[in-house]
Amino acid sequence: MKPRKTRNRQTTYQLQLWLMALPCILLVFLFNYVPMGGIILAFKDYSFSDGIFNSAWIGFDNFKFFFQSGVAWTLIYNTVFLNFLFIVSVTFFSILVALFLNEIFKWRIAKLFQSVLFFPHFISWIIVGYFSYSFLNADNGFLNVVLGYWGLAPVNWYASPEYWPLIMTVISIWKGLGYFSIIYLAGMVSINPELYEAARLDGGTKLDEMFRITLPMITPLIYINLFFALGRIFYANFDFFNNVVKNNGLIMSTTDVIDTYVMRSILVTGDFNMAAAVGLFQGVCGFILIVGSNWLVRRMDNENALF
Amino acid sequence: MPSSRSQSGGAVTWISIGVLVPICILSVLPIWILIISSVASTESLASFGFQIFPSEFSWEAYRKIFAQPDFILRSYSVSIAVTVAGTLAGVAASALFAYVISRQNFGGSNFLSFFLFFTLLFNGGTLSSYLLISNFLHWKNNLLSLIVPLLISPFNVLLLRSYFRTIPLSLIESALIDGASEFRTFRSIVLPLSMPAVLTVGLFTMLMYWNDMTQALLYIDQQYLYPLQYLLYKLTFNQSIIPQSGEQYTGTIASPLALRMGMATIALIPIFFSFLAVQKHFVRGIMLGGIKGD
Repeated sequence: MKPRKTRNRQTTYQLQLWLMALPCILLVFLFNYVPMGGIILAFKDYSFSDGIFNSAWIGFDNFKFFFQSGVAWTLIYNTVFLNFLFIVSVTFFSILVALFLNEIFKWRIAKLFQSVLFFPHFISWIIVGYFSYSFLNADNGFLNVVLGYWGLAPVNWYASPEYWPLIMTVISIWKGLGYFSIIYLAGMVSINPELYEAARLDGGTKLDEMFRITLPMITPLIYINLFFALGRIFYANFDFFNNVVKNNGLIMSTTDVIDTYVMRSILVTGDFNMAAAVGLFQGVCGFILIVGSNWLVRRMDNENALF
Repeated sequence: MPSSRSQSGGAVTWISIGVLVPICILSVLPIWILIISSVASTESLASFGFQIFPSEFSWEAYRKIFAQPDFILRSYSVSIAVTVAGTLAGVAASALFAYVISRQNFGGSNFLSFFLFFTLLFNGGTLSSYLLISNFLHWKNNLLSLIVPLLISPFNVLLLRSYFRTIPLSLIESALIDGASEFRTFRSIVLPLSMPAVLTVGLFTMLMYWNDMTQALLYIDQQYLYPLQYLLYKLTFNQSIIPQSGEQYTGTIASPLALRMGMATIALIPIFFSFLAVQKHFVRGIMLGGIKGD
């Protein structure tokens, strides 16, 4: 009699747990799993009147067209190259700032610096687009005003693609510096103080402490962050590119990325075949890289691996 | 402590401050220029461009915007509605799910974890989601399209799950043995003990909804449904969104540049004050979540 009653109770609890998970299960199923079925569109010639299921199968023609169009390699190169620039420079400067913040961590002013640097994280990309316009527009942008003070010729930034990898990198650093320096600072302040005591007893200088204790101790954290970013290197931040570049054809040669191309295919050109093919290509590359980078994280530190 | 330490420490302190002050000034500069340009006069912007201190000030932009504030208030209320609804529903669904998968003695927890985290590995692409929402759910020009697809973020669930796991299982089991249901245990024991994590996830979610513009770009084309960020986005292409009759009230014409910067400033102010209020929790939350990309 008794064991059966316990089992009934167990079943009730199991049922309750499944019910609690249900809203999230439904949402994830509908908005994440159902769209995965849409990848069949990459192998079809989509027509609005026939719909997803009745459009004709065309094999790999969409991919062939995409890779022969000449746009493909520019898009892939821009996406990976710009993301690489962002990752490396944001990481470098965040660590630098975190190292200095760590030195003055006990001072009140450190909190002020941290807040000032963190605020850009809260600002929407559309407002970042306004900033970049106020800095870069050719007629009266702040940068050209400054160049004028120095007697230099103004630059038509929005028509000079060669400057844009640098411009985008600077904006990336500005937006991400506070966030990532907090992550690295969190790693630094949790380093065992006895290590520093020992270094002092051995006559180590402050620089020794920074480069021989602090930096090596947060190296695993740096690698983990780098690997995660690497896993997403095929995904560009659409909001960032859309608001700062604003589909400007003059600078597209260095700023057009996979995500802006896909959105343009959906909203402007209506070329769903390309959007589907490029989307699947991105998904597959992303899958390989995320699994790979997760494997690297797991090898270093099991606790932080996602899978 | 030996005096040599405080001396070298002192030097490093000043070097650190010396490096950080210019970085902070550069960081604030764009925000400053945006705000100050919104009160620059048309002539000042036309002849000198964007400056740190405009040569002539004018409140014309704000006068014009507030002459007919309906359109901006409308967008504000859309953004507030979307943010509040999305944050409440998102945090609730995430926390419930995170509780379930945090229970390592629950048979389905591994499967459900994989079910959620697989979505980080692979997705069907923007086009598939677009077709699902616009052609199958028919959510074009429906605020649901701004809220429901973004409710669940795997990273938020991960953060909550890690936090819930720090609560001793014995505490949960004793509540269950006393006859409480799983939901009751979650609500009266796990949730109150996890407020820092729940608050953090709530803040992340709020910020995400408030700043989101891509959903509106895809699904909204009626101006009365524009969230604030999307209104600002449309404004960069189309000045006529600001009602023209404003000029009848003020008589003069505001610089289009100052107008745009004024609109951006108006959007920035509530973010600034919320930032002051919640940044401490955010910093703690980031440290709580450890690593996570952006």
